[in-house]
Amino acid sequence: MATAPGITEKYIEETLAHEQTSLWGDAWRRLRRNRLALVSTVFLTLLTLVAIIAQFWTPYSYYAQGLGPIYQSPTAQHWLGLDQSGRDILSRLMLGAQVSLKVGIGTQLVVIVVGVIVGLVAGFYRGFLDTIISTVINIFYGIPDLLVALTLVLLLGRSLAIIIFAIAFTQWMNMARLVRGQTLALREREFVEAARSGGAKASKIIFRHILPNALGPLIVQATIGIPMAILFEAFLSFLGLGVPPPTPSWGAMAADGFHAIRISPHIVLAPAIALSLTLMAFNFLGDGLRDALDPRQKR
Amino acid sequence: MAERTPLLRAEKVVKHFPAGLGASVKAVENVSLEIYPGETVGLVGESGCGKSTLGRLITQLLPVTSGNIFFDGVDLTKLRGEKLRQYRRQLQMIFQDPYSSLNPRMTVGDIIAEPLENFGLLRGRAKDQRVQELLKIVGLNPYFNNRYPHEFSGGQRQRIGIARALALRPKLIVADEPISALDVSIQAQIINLMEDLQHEFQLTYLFIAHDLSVVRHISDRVMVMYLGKIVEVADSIEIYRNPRHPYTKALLSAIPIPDPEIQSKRRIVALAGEIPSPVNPPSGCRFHTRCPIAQLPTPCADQEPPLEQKARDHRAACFFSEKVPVAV
Repeated sequence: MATAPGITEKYIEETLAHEQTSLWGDAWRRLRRNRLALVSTVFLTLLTLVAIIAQFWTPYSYYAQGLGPIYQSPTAQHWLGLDQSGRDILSRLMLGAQVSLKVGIGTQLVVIVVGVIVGLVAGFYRGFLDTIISTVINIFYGIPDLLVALTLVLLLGRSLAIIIFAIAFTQWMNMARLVRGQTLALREREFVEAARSGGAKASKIIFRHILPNALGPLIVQATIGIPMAILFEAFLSFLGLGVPPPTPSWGAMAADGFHAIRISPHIVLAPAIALSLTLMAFNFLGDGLRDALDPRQKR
Repeated sequence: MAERTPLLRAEKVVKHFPAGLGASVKAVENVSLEIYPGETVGLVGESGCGKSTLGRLITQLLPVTSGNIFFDGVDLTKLRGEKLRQYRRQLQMIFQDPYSSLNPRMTVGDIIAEPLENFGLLRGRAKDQRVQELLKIVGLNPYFNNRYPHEFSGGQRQRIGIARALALRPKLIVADEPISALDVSIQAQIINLMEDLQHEFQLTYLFIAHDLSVVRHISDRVMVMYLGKIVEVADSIEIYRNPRHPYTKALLSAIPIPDPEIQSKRRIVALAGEIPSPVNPPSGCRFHTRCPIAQLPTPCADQEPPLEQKARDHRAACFFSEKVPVAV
């Protein structure tokens, strides 16, 4: 195509050269301004570091019993005290962070893979496929979470992978429904029409135009899903159906100390506080991400 | 004009959207039209009259319910999948909303390059050069190719949309109210750009608008649509001087004249009521419920007026077209 010098000169506009920004960069700047989200991010980073360190080093062995008098309150040697078998609670708490993070993040990875595929298919192709998928989602919502998870764990056994799978089994519908709704809305946008008009194939429309624009709500949903999964795992462990001992899980540790809550509350308090702080941090981060990624929806 | 072969010919095109409980929205009803190479056809009508739908049927972004659309002699409505995709190169669209028509997660360069990639036309540096050239053609700084759409103003974004439409060197561009979302000062720039591009690249335009004054400036011929039907087609000078359909007349008299003296002396043909629902359109002539010269009930409410020749290059669908008052 021949360039058109006349047109070029006539219409070139001077545009102020401002700092180049991407939408993700903007979101990051908004997130940094949210103090609660920032504190949560720092806390969760530290928690992750602790979980990684615990893999190589803990003050004491997490399964060594009789390190001192049982039910011993916090001392200089054992900062968080000893439990009913005389095991070091701090060491067990550090290792328990691993379980919680693995369950939280692992579950969400499974949920994202399943939810995104199912949601995209239902929202993009609509019609009969969407009717079937939406019906299945509604049926899953109708089944009590705990019942499903308990059945799966009892049938398949108590391993970390199975617990992750069982929790994801009760949570994937949230993600699928969100992605389906986003896809339904985005596929009607003019830039998707423009892409079709420009000869884009379905796969390109889905992965280049729809999915990247649904990513914000998707990340928020996953961040909110992590604490739900962690809490669910703690609950299963509290009931004695979590990861098999002696691997420490915060839920199981709380259950251990539960019968002695009147004489030595520190056994329950340590994992309970750790759990609460972690759940709060993830929730604040999720809220912060929602505000940062979609500033128009700010409440 | 009649002896030339049309670039695009639509025959009895119908589009119904299902509206639940067996009802349907009759968005486009039995529309036939021709667009000749190199001309600009203006398509005007109120919101909801089906003009945008017609534009999307012509570009095959929506499938027709019935009817045929011939482009260069090929019936687009019969094409599926890859064959249709190949034809999309010839038919591009400029969209109304410059904010929603650009993917916010893609850079301007990627947006303009995407059609080229889809057809495997250019790669690597040749592609980048072409993108920069296109940016220059629409009057944007070619080094803005790695910026994001939100860094641009509405007018600039519309230029990006035009550059994307030009990338495949189409023959026909359907512009769906390309300027109605822009400031008045920017509107003229975009119109001028589109006119310059038409001469430069021998483009044919179907220019959709709800504003007759804009269409008057750019169009060779004008079609007026009301409730899914074309009610009048004429040369753009002729239609303004001598409208033959009372609806066109009403639209014309709604254009304000920037002179208070003349404006106050004008006889304004104000239409009563709202546009009827396209789910259940009026019988006979669809305009009879709001028409100032309708003779009820016969013939206007029980017969449908055909789109007939009223003068040279001038067709209108009205039984009483000679009674339409002369323009101001």
